[in-house]
Amino acid sequence: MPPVARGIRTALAIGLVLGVVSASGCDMVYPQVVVTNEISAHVLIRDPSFNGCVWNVTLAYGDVTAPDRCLPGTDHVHFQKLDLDQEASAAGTPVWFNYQTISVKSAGYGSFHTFEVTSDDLEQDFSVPGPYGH
Amino acid sequence: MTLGIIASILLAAGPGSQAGAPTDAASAPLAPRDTADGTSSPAAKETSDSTPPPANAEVLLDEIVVPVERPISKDATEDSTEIAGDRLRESTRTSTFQAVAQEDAGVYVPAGTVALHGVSNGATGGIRIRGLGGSPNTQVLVIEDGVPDYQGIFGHPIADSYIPTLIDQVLIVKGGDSTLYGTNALAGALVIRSRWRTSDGLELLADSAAGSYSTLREQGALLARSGRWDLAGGVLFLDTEGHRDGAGGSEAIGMGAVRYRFNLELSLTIWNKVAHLEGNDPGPVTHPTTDHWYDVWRDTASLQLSFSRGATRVAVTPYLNTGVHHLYDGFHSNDYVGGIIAEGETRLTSSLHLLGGLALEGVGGRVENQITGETPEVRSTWNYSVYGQATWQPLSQLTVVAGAREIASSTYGWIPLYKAGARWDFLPSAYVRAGVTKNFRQPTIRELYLPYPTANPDLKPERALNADVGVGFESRHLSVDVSGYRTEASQLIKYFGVFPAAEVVNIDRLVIWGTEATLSVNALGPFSAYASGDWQDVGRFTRQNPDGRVTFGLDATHAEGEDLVGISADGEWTHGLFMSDYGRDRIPDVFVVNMAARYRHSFTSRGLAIEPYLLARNVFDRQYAYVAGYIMPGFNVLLGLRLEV
Repeated sequence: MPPVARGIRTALAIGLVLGVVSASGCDMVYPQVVVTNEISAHVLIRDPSFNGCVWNVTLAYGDVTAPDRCLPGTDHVHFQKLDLDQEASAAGTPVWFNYQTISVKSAGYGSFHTFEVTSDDLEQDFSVPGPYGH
Repeated sequence: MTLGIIASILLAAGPGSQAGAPTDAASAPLAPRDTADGTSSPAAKETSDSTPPPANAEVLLDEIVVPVERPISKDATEDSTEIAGDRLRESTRTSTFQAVAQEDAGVYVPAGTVALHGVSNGATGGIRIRGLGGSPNTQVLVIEDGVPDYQGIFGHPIADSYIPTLIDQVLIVKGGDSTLYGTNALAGALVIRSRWRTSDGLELLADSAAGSYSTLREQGALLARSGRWDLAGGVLFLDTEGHRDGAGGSEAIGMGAVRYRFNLELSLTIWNKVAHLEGNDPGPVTHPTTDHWYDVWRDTASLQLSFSRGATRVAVTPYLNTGVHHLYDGFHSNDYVGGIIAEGETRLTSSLHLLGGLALEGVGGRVENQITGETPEVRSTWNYSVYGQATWQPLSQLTVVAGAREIASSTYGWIPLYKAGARWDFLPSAYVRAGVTKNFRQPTIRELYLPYPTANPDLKPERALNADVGVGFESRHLSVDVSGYRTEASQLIKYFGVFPAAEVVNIDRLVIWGTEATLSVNALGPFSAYASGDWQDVGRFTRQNPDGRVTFGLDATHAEGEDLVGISADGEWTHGLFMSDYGRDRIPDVFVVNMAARYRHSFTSRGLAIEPYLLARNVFDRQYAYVAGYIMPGFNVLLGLRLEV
């Protein structure tokens, strides 16, 4: 076999091996997470987030987000909450308040998690960052 | 696909190029940890002759024109580190700034990301040297091919906008040097020099890579020299989804330069770089933001007329750096940094070398909030400078340097700066060195006029008096350097509080003591290794100002015939990180290890080299962050293929 062909063959073989390794990068096995609103029928939550994931959606009671791959690790589920009963008795623009779960959720590699947001597991979230400051 | 087409073209191109047997220092495969001038040292410690030959001088030897590249450093006594371009191109790190920080622990860049550094909050491209700098890194100046590179409104360079395939050398000037480089070289300077061919011919480099987080990277360089014409061009494209929501982005950088040599003494160079960045501040992991986007366009152009005869050199360089920044919150700016530098040097006697220059620079721009229509009033600043440096070698082993710069600022009046240093090579392989520099940085337009979150038009320029002393040993296989430094800064500009009660003011005085050490073992059989450390006492100013860093690396290469295999591992440990001053809000230490594997086959008869490679970052999959909440990627890989002809 001529040296040129042998060199190409060797390079391609190594490239193939490296390609397989590349395709198995850790991001492919990051945990998949969904969040569901289980608070009550008169409470909406929106923009839930968990450890690097954010779902820009509004969830009515029983709704579930689409699965997203989050960073492995632990975090509260953060979200904005709107109580429709309170808003009905108040005038003006609805006010969404920042909340998080009291419990800390955990998600590991290769796993699938459904994190339920319930009425007995939520508290106000004072860790929301301030405005963008350039 | 693209690589396949390129490979076919290159294989058909036939002999005549140098890919298999590089003629230029910068194109050596799996570059050792050496300087471009061949001296081996830790990445490599400054060893330049204090009386350099003129820029791009050419020596006629038996009708063969041998270019003599001028040392990148203009001051042999300063504490500096030279990094060959190949070290950056082969780095496991994503960006040029990260690669530079890996090579020298005295440079701190808080990033291990696969994506863009970004701009504004959440940006990771801040540089710190000897306790100053940070985000934005307005206290460390980048000089690219002789032109100060910072943007007009915010005063910092765009960390993502450098093309490794075109870099010949990077010089890290630790302790800064405003005498030679002007404003912003307060804590340090990164001097970047681009590659050119030094003999007639064509050189093409194409590098395609893909990896974790749907990351695609394409970069290339084209260097050509024919008769009186030189051409250097390069591109870099990067697109990634990022390791978490909001961390993705893309960039496209293009750079081109043409040089015409009228004769052996006179040349004209036209240089231009365009950069387009689209990214996002992802926010902390607990509260990700996918809509905090930015869109940045920048263009830098320069023209250099250079004359060299013997030891005399004169260069005139007008330049203009402009940009348009657009942010999700309505911020829109147009800015410019423009000026002209006229610099000359000559050797008066066999022991006395003089360098002097005149510089004019203007900084300005226009800012608008496109949502509210608000346009804060912005005043431009103009600086006129005259500077000089004398290098005296009373003995062949002793070099003494003294310099001064006088700046006339349209806003701040007269600003005198100075420097002095000495180096004594008391043994053929050992030296002792000391230096002191007085530096300054003018406030940025943002700090003066923009209410994001606050401004103060009465701010004074920052000043620093930096001193260091070092001792080193260099041999073929071993290099050691130990330095101690003291940074005394006054009138530093600091933000306090949060909107709407925030304020930005000058603070009185800040003193930082530190020590740095590098150890490099080169070419011990197939192995080379290095370790670099920096330890500093930053007092109460601990916010994003780590106590210590250690970087390390181990390379092993084996060449047989036309084949070469290389494996390397590198990493860093960063200790004493805090999110606040007074040692509050500590962040766990950073420890990360990366690895690289390469195989290179040279088709010498066809002048082609092909090199598949794999970069594996954070191989222990450690969860770490430099900024609280901004978790860096876990284990990730990048698979690439490089072609050279």
